[in-house]
Amino acid sequence: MKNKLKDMMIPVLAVFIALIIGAGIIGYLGESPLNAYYYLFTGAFVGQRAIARTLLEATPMIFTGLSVLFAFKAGMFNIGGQGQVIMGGLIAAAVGAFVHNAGVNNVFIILILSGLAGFAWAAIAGFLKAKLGVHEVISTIMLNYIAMNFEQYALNYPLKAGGPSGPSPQTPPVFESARLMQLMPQTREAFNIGFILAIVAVIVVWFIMEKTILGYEIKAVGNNPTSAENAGINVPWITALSLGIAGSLAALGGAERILGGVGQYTYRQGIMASYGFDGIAVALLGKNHPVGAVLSAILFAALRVGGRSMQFNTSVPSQIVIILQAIIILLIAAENMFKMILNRKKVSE
Amino acid sequence: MLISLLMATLRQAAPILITAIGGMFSEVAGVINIGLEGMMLMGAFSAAVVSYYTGNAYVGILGGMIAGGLMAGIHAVLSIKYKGNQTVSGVAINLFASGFTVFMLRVLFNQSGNTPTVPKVGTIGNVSIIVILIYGVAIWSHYFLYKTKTGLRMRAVGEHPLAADTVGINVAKVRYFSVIMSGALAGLGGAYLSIGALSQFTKEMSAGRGFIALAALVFGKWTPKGVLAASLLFGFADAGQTLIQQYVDFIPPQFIQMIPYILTLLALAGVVGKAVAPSAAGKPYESNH
Amino acid sequence: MSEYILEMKNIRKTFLGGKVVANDDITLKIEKGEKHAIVGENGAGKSTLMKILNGLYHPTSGEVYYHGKGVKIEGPGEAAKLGIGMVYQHFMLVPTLSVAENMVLGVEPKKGLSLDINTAREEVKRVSEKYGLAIDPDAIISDLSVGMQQRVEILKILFKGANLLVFDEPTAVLIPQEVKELYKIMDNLIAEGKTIIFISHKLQEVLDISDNITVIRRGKDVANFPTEEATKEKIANAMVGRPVLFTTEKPEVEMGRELVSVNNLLVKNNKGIIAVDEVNFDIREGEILGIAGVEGSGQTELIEALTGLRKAEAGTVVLEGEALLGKTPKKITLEGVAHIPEDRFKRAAVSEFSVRDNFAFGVHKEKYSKNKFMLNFAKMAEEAKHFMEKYDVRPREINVGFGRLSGGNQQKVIVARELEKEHKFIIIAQPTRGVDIGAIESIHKMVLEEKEKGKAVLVVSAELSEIMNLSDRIAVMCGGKITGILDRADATEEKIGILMAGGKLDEK
Repeated sequence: MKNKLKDMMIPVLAVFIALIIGAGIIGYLGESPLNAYYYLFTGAFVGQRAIARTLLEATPMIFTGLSVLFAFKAGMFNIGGQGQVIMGGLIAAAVGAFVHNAGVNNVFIILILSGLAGFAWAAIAGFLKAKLGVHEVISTIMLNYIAMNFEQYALNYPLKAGGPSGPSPQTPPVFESARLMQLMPQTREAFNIGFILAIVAVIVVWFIMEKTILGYEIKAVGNNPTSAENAGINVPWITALSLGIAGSLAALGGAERILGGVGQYTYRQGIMASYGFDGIAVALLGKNHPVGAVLSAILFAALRVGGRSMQFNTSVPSQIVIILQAIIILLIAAENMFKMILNRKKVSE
Repeated sequence: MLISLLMATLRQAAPILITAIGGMFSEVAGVINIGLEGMMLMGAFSAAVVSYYTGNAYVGILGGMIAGGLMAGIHAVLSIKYKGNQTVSGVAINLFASGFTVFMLRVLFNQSGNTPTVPKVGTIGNVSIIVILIYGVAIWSHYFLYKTKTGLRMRAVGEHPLAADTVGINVAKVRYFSVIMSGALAGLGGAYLSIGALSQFTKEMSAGRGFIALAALVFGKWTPKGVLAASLLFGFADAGQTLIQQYVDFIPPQFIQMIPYILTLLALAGVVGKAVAPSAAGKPYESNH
Repeated sequence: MSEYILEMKNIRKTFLGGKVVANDDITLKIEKGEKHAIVGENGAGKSTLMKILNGLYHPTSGEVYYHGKGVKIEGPGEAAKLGIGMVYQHFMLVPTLSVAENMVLGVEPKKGLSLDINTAREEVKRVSEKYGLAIDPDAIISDLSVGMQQRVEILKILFKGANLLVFDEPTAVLIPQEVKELYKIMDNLIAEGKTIIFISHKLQEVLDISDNITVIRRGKDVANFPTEEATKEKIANAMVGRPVLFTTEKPEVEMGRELVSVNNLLVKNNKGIIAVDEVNFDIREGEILGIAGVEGSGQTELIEALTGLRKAEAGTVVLEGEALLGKTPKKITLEGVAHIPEDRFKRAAVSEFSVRDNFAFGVHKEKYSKNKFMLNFAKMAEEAKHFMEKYDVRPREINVGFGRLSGGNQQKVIVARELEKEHKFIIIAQPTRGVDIGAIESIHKMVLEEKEKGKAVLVVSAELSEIMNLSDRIAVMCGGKITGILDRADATEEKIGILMAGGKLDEK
């Protein structure tokens, strides 16, 4: 019990320290930190619109956070979330905006297809690791850049609204049948049922990990692939499968961005922002626990949403939020530093 | 035409090469450095900013290297002193550099995309002085790694830190040196991008080169000669790209831009199994005295 | 006082703020020119004591006197300056560097800005000639044999001027021929005026070559006597604190029909070199076949082929009519093969899992699945509790993390799990490695019970005495081949030693 409490302290401490450092930077810029943080907080949490915005922004991050977390359990670092998100989104836009067959062009089918796209994209890295021992960090990073280039291609040629000579690099809006139901429509933010889906995904991931044979084997492979192999577990298969599932989770986040309406139901430049990378921060801060991932996603979303309000009402640039995010991760990476400081009383030698 | 392709190759390869050499020093000594991209970006930004404020591009080069070194210093402290997860630390550095550079663009220049034009480093013949510097450092790195005392210690510490410890070598000190050097070299690579090839800093201008450098490192099997060959190969892919686009205009440019990354994937798939990383890379070393 | 080259007085060393006491008021006195053996169980504190001597640890209290003078050894550098050198059990050599580079690491000669490798080479030649230990200065460590690598370790400390040499389990990784050579080297060093301390758990070795023996038990020095007064029993009693049996009663068992048959098995290792070279043997019901041989003779690859972890190039393995080669590890387990791997922590268990989950590991799908996807945790818990009682695993907590158990209890969990599998054939590698003398008895008993139950048992061990104790027949491996199979009654250490080195026996 005592250890668990200590474990939870560290993320809280990291956020706290980051906020203090942020306050310092804000002060240095000549603004009042309290004032800035006031707008940060209210912009994220006060009022229906704020809450809708924050939860909407958190939705893809929950998916990508789950993605990174899932891969971690299998002993892998999924840095490819961004590429997987893009692939999921592109499929969602491609089917949702261009396929006329009503049997195919509906929300459920599209979500499944997006998931499959993400699965396949990640499985490339999974296969490379399982069969050839290629470290997934580098391969997923390469796949990210390939996906980013592909995204540009798709938005400018095959998926472009109005064809290659159309007005701007984005897809047409997806059909009605493909759209995710809106929640809190009165706020006029695109907060949609995708958030609920994300929570469902959290529960599913938890269930798989804690209750099923697959979860048991994934954790075994993640902890000790040699032992797992000795015990008759098909390690290459589990490796590729885990990374694939991680990819499909991230891809669902991408699908939500399109089908949920945040970009007027189109896939447009920059809509995938940096959600794939945010997933890494979310998983780390959430200590690789599904519930922690949800809380972290909401926190990071709040920072981003609140940051815009802060920039609007003060002259503090919203990019400071990215710096805060980076500081938080750096502090998590320095976890041992905290442990050492907290244990200073127990020093011997 | 061949000459211009060759020159373009050397130019495109330069930032990748020097960053990869930096990564090599770090990893040979046992510390994984995923943060090369961020260090490069900070180097690019700092070089431009220092060049702007001092009016002197050469001081800018120094500024870039110091910035890269500082970033690496953070990575070093986290990885060596606090024995943190080296991959996570690298990712955090990349994130930080991304946000920080854009943030400072706003704060210093009130811009969101790029700095104003800044003094640029001169050229000899048609070649930027930084490029000459880079190739010089690359050649020197072979001598340094294999023929000096520090190079020997770096190699020892990355393969068997305990053995080095028992003969009285300060493992942490050697690793700090290697990591900070890797940042400084990545910063130099970044400086080339902003004040060597161009004369300004643009947002996210490292564009993944730090990761290509990582790939060159693996592909080059952690040796200076290998890294040089790999970097030239990737530089060629980059340089050839613009050429290919001139002649084959039915292939969308984005696919051409994918080539280095695809090449890297193929290279990794083909090369792995024979490429062996330094044994102690990624594992923090615990000294009891 | 001056006849002692080294005195460590009242050494006390604690960790974690006093929670762990590794050395508890130990006093050690070493005479100049003697060969002094330090004996003790795993975790008794002898390694810690030697690390203090070498400067890797600092004593919490106590004093060290070298040549009569009080000294504070801050680190290995100081130890070397004093003339203390340690030859580690796991060599402190950088495998990718050359002999010369390893020799001068830390004290590199310089020529201007460069490393003066030529001077380094000369130094290597000089020292190797002085002590008669030939070595090629440019050889890369990873290319050298184990015996040669140890030679480099010795030269390294002689190069730095060592007068007091400490050997930690020096013969653990050597074949009998190399052991004889090492003993000769040690004698030469004594003749040159050196003093030697060596840590060993091989009681026969201690009796053969040492002059004095110090026994350490639970952090204390409990006995110290000259070797001429010592017997194996006396030493072992001091190590454990109670009388120890050296041979286990072997049950008289009717051996049945042939159960396992291995023919012309050819297996390659990771580097593509033949590791198992057309090996033939069979095992009957109720028979224990022991495989003796120095590590690296192909035993690991043999076991991997038998358990399906490695593809065989040629040959057959038949278990009661069923061919095993080519099947997956899972299928082989289902055919009735149980396997206790040599490194339980690395290969047989999941350290993050609880004890409960580790009992189920490997049979989780077969025994504990509830419909196709889920696990029946209640059943796992029930059986885990039952096993803990049956095999006396402590503490009796099924939900504690596996990593928290002691080495002996971890081994019991793994053994229990494998024995409880439905099996006809069991393969056991290094059954008592890292297990205290006290627990060895109970593990040997479990192995013999398998014999009584009529299983075919294959035991691979680097401990000759263990092989001789347990086996009905002993197969000796050397360089991938089986150089001979002896009945227990005919086997002697000498014969096995000859076979281990690749020689042939005159009879047969």
